[in-house]
Amino acid sequence: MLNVNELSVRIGRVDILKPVSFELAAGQSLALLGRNGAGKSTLVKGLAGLVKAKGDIQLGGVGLNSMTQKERSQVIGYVAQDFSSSNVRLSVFELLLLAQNSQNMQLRASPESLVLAQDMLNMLGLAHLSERMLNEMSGGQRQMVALALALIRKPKLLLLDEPTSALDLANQLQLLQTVRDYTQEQNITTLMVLHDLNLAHRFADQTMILESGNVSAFGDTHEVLTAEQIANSYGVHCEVFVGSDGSRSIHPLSAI
Amino acid sequence: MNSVSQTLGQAPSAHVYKNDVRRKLLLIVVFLILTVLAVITDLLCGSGTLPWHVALDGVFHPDQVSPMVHVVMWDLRMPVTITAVLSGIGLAIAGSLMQTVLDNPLAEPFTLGISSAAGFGAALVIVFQTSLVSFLPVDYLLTANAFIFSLVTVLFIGMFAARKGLSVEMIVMLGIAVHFIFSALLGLAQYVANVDQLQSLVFWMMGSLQKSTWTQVGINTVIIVLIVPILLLLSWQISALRGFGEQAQVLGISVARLRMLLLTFSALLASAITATIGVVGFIGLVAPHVARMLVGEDQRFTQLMTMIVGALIMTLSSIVSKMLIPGVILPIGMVTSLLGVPFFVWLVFGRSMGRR
Repeated sequence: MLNVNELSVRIGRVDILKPVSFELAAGQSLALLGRNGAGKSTLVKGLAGLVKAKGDIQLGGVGLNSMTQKERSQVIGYVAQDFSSSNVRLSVFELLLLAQNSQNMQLRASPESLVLAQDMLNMLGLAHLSERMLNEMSGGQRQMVALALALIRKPKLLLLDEPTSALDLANQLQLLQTVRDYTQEQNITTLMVLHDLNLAHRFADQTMILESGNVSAFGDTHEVLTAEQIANSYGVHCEVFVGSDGSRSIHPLSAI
Repeated sequence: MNSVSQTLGQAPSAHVYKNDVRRKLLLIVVFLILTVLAVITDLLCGSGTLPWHVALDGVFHPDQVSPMVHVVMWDLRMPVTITAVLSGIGLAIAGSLMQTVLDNPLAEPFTLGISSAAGFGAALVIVFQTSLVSFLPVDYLLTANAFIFSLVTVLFIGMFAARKGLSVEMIVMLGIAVHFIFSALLGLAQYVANVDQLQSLVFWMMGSLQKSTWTQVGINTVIIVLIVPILLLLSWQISALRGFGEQAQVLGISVARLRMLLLTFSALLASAITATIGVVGFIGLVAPHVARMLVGEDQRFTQLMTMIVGALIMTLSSIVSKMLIPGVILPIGMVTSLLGVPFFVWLVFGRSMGRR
């Protein structure tokens, strides 16, 4: 269970994120939506400890603010929006070992980390990229690698900042399905910043819409993503279709 | 997920990785052997006419050679050769750390103004006969002053940057500003210096191994022996910093603290070496790049290879400096720059053209 109480972020003189409070049960995924500059990435970075944030964050009843950076890193997995810009000459397998051994003060990689790296490559269908250098990969492949790096540390809270922005349609579906399955199987909590409302509909149990650093809507995804709410938050007329199996799809019509 | 779990014995990626580790270790051993050969060659070469077999006897049977040969080998050549190895190691690893801390492949140990600060420290002694450590014996005044000026300069930049939370770009800007201030002061010292003082100062700035003494060898050895093991133990963290930058925090690494530690180590190494041999460029820029090309960026291997390549280039430069003009020993800084410039040009233009 994730409990966020009055979390806020101020950078310089600007309140990027005004006090935000919410709860999210273990095994659930939350989609963070909103226009550009709404504060979505800042909320995720605040939870990850990458920006200074005020407020209280409890994960499974333990306060994250009272943890050291090292302790916090052991419960949080984070996929950055700009990971794909890294140009380091490390292979995917080396990166997976690095993610597990970053606190290791011995020169040898732990034997378990070799096994886990292989498992993760197989799980995400990345085994064929194992020896490929990060700087020789496409943006989409790097995003898949970034997810592998986050998952291999077995996080209790998974934070994904636009994880599908460079992926093709098939890989978007595969990545989000993997995240959803992992979240449910491992009973962890997942927050993901998304721009595609249909993907949010399909893969998020809960949805939060941010506007200028404030929460404008929060709740079950099918209750939040209504035509009226989308018009209010995005300034776009749209239709929401409900399929025979209960699945929903959103068709944007025009800007208001 | 359990269905795809494999044991290590069946894991092809882990197998390939282990082979790659063996290849890297083999490369490191090969370059280590090359460096040892270069060191022996450097010992056998000199400005005099000592035959190589006599020189070899002087090294391996010091009690069986004449006092003159003993002095030439053990008091003149040996400190110079060991200083070449130590300064190669020190400058190369200092450059590698600076490139990591500043996240800039073209950074080198002198990027933050160490060379001009050390130069001004030396100028104070040579031209103005003034030193911050005037209680020391005269022989050490110049080295100590150059060391203090360069070290204090970089530590000041690092601490100022840490306190103000400056970005990497701002740190570089600050380094450039400091470099120009000390360059101007150095220029002033050169302007008011007499002919002898000017010659001494210019010679010092060119960098030379010939000033090496056993005391300086001892000091540099201690600094390297204290710093290098810590850097090797921090290999995973340094790899994470190179790979993920600020986001290495998510892996539990205190990025600001690690950057400050690496900056301090880099400054300490570069200052100690520069104070001993003067300004020797390009080793700190070139060696880390060569090492990365050979063994990639897993710092467990990169750091070792960087040190070996630095020692190898420096020793080869020392040999060239003695062989190029018979009877004359050229300043080592001049030789490393001449050897390094073509590589530098390739690095800047070759890579940018390759990207198009």
